[in-house]
Amino acid sequence: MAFIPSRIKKHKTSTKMVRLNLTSMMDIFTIILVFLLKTYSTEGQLIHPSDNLTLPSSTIETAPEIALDVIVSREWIMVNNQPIARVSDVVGQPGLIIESLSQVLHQFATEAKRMEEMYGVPFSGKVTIQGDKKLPFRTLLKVMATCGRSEYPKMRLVVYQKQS
Amino acid sequence: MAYKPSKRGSREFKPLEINIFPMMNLMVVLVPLLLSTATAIKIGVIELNLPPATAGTISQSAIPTEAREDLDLTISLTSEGIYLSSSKAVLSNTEEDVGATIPPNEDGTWDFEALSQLLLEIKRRIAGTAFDTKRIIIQAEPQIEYQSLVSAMDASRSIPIDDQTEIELFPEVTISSGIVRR
Repeated sequence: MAFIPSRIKKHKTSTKMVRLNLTSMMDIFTIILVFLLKTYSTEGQLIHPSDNLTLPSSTIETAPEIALDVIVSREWIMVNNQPIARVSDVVGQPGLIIESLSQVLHQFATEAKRMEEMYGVPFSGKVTIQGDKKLPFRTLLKVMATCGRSEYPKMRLVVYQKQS
Repeated sequence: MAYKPSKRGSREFKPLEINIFPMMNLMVVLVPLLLSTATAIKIGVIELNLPPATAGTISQSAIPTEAREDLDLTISLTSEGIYLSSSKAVLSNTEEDVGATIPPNEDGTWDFEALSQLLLEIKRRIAGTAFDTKRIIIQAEPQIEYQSLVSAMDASRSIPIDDQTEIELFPEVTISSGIVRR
C-alpha cells in the first residue's frame, strides 16, 4: 500500500513564529548612520544667526570663526545680543559714526586688550557683522565705518552659503 | 504497510540568523541623535579687512592721487545699473555712450553675470601688467539692499567656468562710501 498523505494535515497552518525581516531596515539605517557621521562636525555652529533677520546668501565657502558679534536686525543694532541703538534712529543721524555703538565697541576693545596683557589672549580686532538682507547700504556703511573707527577693522560679513 | 518516505533527502534547511536586535537598538538611538545635531544651513563669512583707522576722515587716502599707479577698479551699484570705472575713466556701454556700463535686466534686477564676464575680460587684459591686482572697490547708492552688495561681491570674487573650476577675479573687496550723501 502506498503512503497516502493525510487530508487533515494538508490544511493545517504551521505554528512557526512569524519573524519580521529586519535586514532591509538595517541596510537603510546603516546608510543613514554613515551619512550622518560623515556630515557630523564636532565644532557645532559657531555663529547662531539671530532672529528678526534673514542673512543674505552668497557663494563664498569660508568658514566662520568666533569673534565679537555685531547684529543689525530690522529694528535694533546689537552687540553680543545686547541692544545698543535703534536702526530707525541711526538712519536719521548725520555723519558716519554711530556714537552709542562706538562707545560699546571701545569698551569691548579695552576689555580685550586687558585680556591680552593679563592672559595672553591675542586681540585680533575681528568682528562679525550679521545684517538683514534688506538692510539699506546707508545703514550698513555706518555700522561698518563705526567698527573700523572703533578698533575693529577686520570685519566678517556673515552670510548663508548657497546650496549648489 | 509501506514506510513513510524518508525525510533524509529533503531535510529542512534552517538559515542561520544573527541576532540584529542590539544593533537595531543602537541605530535607533544614534540616528535621531546625529540628526538633531546636523546643521541644515551652512554659514559662511566674507572677509573685509580695512586698514586700522587713524584720526582724520575715513575716505581720504594718505597717498596723493598722482603718485598712485593703481587701477582702482570700482563697481558702482545704482538704480540705473552697474557702473564700472577705474581711476581714469568710466567704462561705457558698447552700443551708446550714455547710461550705465551694465544696464539692469528688464525686471529691474542687476545683471551680475554680465558683470562677472566683463571683469573676467578686464582680468585677462591686465594679467602680467603693472596694473594686475586683486583689489576692487564696491560702492552703492544709499538705498541699495545688502543682498545686492553681497551678490556684487560674489560676482567680482570669481567666475565659474564649468562645474569644477573657477577663475579668481578680484577677491579683495573694499567698500567705499562714494555716493552716500553726508
